[in-house]
Amino acid sequence: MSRGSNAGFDRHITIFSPEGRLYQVEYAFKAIGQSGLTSVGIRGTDTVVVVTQKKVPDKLLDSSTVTNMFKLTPRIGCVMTGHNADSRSQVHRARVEAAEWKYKFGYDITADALCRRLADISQVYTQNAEMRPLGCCMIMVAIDPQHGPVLYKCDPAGYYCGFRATAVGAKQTEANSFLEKKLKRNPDLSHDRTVQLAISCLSSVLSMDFKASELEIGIVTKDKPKFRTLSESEIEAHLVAIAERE
Amino acid sequence: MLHSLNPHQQQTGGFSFENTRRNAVLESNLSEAGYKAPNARKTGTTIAGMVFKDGVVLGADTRATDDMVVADKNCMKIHYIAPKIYCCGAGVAADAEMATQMMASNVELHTLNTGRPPLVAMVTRQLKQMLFRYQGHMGASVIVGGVDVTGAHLYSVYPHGSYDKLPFLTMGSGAAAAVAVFEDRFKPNMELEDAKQLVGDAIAAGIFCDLGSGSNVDLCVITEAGVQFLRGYDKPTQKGKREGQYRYKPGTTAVLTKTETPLSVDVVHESVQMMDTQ
Repeated sequence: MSRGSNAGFDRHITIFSPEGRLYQVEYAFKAIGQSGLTSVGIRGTDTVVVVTQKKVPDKLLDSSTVTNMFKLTPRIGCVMTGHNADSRSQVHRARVEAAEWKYKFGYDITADALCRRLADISQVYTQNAEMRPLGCCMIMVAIDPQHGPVLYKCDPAGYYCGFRATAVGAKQTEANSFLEKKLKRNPDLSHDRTVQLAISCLSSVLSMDFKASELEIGIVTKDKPKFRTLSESEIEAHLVAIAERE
Repeated sequence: MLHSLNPHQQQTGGFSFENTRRNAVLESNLSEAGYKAPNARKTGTTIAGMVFKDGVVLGADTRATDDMVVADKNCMKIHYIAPKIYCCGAGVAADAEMATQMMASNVELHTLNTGRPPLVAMVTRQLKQMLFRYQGHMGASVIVGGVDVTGAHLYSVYPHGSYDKLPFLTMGSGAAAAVAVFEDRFKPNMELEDAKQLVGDAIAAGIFCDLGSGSNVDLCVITEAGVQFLRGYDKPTQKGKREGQYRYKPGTTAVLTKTETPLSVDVVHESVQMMDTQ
């Protein structure tokens, strides 16, 4: 099994390398970090929150049109990290799948079923030579009617899983270790504590103090299970609360 | 790989009507020769369902008819779809049977995929989409009832694909007779025994007042705790037992007089015919 038997195409399309790796899928993971953004998701006792940076690189850009938070169904929201165009494509596909489910089965799709469906679609891209995997990662939040608050992540390899907390993006390793430390003792996470923990995770990992306009926060709570993004004044209130605690 | 923005794509299905002209010619040929083409067996039927305090009660009669002849005196019209969802079928027997079996199969797959117990609304949705695709040619009228995580639900689906969601429902040729009983005595949140009695009486009304329904009453009680299938809950058309002996004892009638008159009979003609006793 000489290295040259595939003529080196294992790096160019999604076929196995002699060591059993899919290089294209690994490159897709690297592409997620290219955008330079990091996103964090945390599941509390009655709230699930996703936070991401809002970087507006150009002064001429209208910041209200730039967003990485998307509503997939009225009750399921997500944050996309990575390649912008691939993100939009995956969000659109998720919305179509959710709507078809509602039409075929007569009830709203649950977050785990939607995440599995997207993961299955991503898996197809890792097997077909003619399509490349998408260079983006989706963190999905919802209040499940039977299981309560849920947080799911779906990546380009077609792997999906439910999380207590997770991070994706350029600084995901540091963010994940920060979250592991904070959640080691299984603290009781109220609504405010969940949001503030997510914000402080980002600021500590990126070593910067945020302004309200530099963050995007999406939440679902048991009282208000519809996915919504926080307004600037609400974000400001949380930032003030964090500053006061320190 | 953007999916199209078009609404749900049309599923190809339904019947192909290519042979209708040929069939019409064949039928006319048959009738000219004095024969009739065979008919699909219908169930005639009275089926009913109602929601009570703890769940739903489904009821059905047990007669299957082939035009004016009873084809089956004790058929089963309450079909299994999921552990806590059952379905009564009226109309063309084969269509109802096949439709419910397809639903049961879809529900099983869905349950395995999602890992959650199925919803009655999901069964109804798939059933009516399938029946609409066949434009009413699939002659199945169905009452779907069951208990799921959102509570107890009862739906009726018509052959063309429309549906109703109500606390009590009846379908089939005996529907009018059965619904009269419901309209008179139904109350929301009835107790189990009262509910069983009411559904049993409604089906019995269909059995007595409709020619297409008869024989026994089957009930199916579905609650959060489980399912109780009562096959032959009531047999209103069973012949009653005789109360006593109706034969007269020998000697009941007194003999007053006896007269003997001998008759003289003469032999007129004698002939012998050999029988082949091999």
